[in-house]
Amino acid sequence: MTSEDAVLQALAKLPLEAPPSALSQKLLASGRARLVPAQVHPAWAVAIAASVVAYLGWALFYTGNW
Amino acid sequence: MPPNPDHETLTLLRRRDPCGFDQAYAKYGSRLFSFLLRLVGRAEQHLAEDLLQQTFLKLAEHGPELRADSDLRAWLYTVARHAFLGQLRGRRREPEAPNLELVADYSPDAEARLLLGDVEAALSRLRLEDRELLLLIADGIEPIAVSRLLGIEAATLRKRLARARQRLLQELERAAPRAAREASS
Repeated sequence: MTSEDAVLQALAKLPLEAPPSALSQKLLASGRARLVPAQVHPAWAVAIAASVVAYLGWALFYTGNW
Repeated sequence: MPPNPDHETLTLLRRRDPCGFDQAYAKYGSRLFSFLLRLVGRAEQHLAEDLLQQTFLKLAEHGPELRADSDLRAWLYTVARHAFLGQLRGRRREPEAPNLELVADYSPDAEARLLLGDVEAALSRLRLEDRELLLLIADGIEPIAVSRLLGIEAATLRKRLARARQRLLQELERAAPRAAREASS
């Protein structure tokens, strides 16, 4: 082994440093939240669809094309 | 070609499964934090924490877009490095040399820690580019991935690596002849 390889080995032996546990917990929670898209409650989808239908119905009625 | 060791993690991330994020953090959280801590210096631990946070939040954001054959480790180091360079540009100064804990009690363990402390102290006195390169290679990242990560040719990488190793040895010899003997034996 050359002395240069030994230098890299000495560096590789440096111990791993764990991040503070409070940081890890915070990071895991925010990472998971960012990864998983927010679930929209089905009631919102129904409400939006109903409002679109109501608006179109009203527009047709108003223009006298009903 | 050997199978990608992060295939499962990447598959989970692509499915937006939080277990993928947990796996990536369990596997690379400490390694990346150690790399960042040694890069910025121990006096700047809060900066290393910020950079770790930025890196893993980027993973949560872009993880689902990564390919199943991506090199996750190299990707994380690239993001961490860009975050660090961004901070440096903002501050326009070299990070401070780390504060090393002194090992007061004698034991073979303590002695080994002291020698490792010498190596770490010598590393902290190197130029940022040398320190970064040595940390990446010592962390087991393939030279080809390191040259891509640093945006340099393979031949340039070899030259820079030889120079950085030499400078580290010189630093060790200057400040801690015993650790230098250990490292070159």
